[in-house]
Amino acid sequence: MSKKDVRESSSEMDMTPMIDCVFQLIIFFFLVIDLQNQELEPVLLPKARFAVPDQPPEGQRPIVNVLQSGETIYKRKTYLEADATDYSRLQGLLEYFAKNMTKKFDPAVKKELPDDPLLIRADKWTEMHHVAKIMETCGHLNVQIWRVELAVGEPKAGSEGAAKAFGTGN
Amino acid sequence: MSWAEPKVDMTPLIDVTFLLLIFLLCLDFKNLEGELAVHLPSDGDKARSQATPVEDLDVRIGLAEFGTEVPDKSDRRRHDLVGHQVFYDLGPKRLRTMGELESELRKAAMVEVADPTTGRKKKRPITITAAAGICYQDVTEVIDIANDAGFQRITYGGGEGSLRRPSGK
Repeated sequence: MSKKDVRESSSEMDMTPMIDCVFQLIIFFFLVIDLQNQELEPVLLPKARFAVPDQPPEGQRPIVNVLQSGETIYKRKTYLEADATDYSRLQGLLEYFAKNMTKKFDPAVKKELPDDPLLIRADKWTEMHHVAKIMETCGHLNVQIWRVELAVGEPKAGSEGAAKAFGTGN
Repeated sequence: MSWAEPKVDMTPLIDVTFLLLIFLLCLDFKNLEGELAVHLPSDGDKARSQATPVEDLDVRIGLAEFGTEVPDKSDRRRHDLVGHQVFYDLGPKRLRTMGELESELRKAAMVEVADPTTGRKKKRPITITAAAGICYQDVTEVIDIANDAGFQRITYGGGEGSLRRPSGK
């Protein structure tokens, strides 16, 4: 190559690898979002004024969603239909959670109990009766999950949630 | 004549990096939710309570008015409750507003009782029960305030069934 050829050729950046990388990243993030959202159903959470931001613990923390109808969903699968009276599927699910949770020896009962929490996400107007059913099942002999966390929304100044915190009484 | 150094234009790369950074930050905020820890009565608690009775602070949430169901236009599966009103029984005292309950809970949080086993003074545990028709929001509001008042052990003691099926506990 002569000196003249080099001088005249413009230095252009090859954009192809970068575009490849960007597309790969887009695909990756789409998959990640999908996997993350699998556990979260679209429910309107109640606003809390003082709740701590959610910090997922080191151990396992399954997330159970409760819709207004009482339908209980885990990873897009319904384990308890609305107005159901048979809780065997829900109990099976909670037994599965308990089996995989970190255990801690409780000297009071002289046995190991699950020490990881269960996170319950319910719509703000879900009757507590439906959530209580899950809590009751947590106390079953083969489950024994005693730590429960209730999901709430982030407080926003002047929002409807913050205002209602003082307006529920009559 | 001097030769021009071939330069790599880094601008698009920086643009993309910043876009990804913003995207990741948004993703983080999207999943930001709060949590309220609550305990359930376990076998261990039952065994302990038989041996060492500890004075609990009982909060019962009662229903004054269930309210009117107004369908949510953006989500067919849900509705809002308009005019939903509750009251609170803190021991023998009836409280009509959340403000009253907050004030009473903060006062109660100042009182510490001696642990019968260790002798150390600590805040009383709170047990929350809910009447039929009480919603998730009503309970989380009470737990939220109790947490902020400094109560360390908040237990959900159970509900009194459903408003739609009062007998179906």
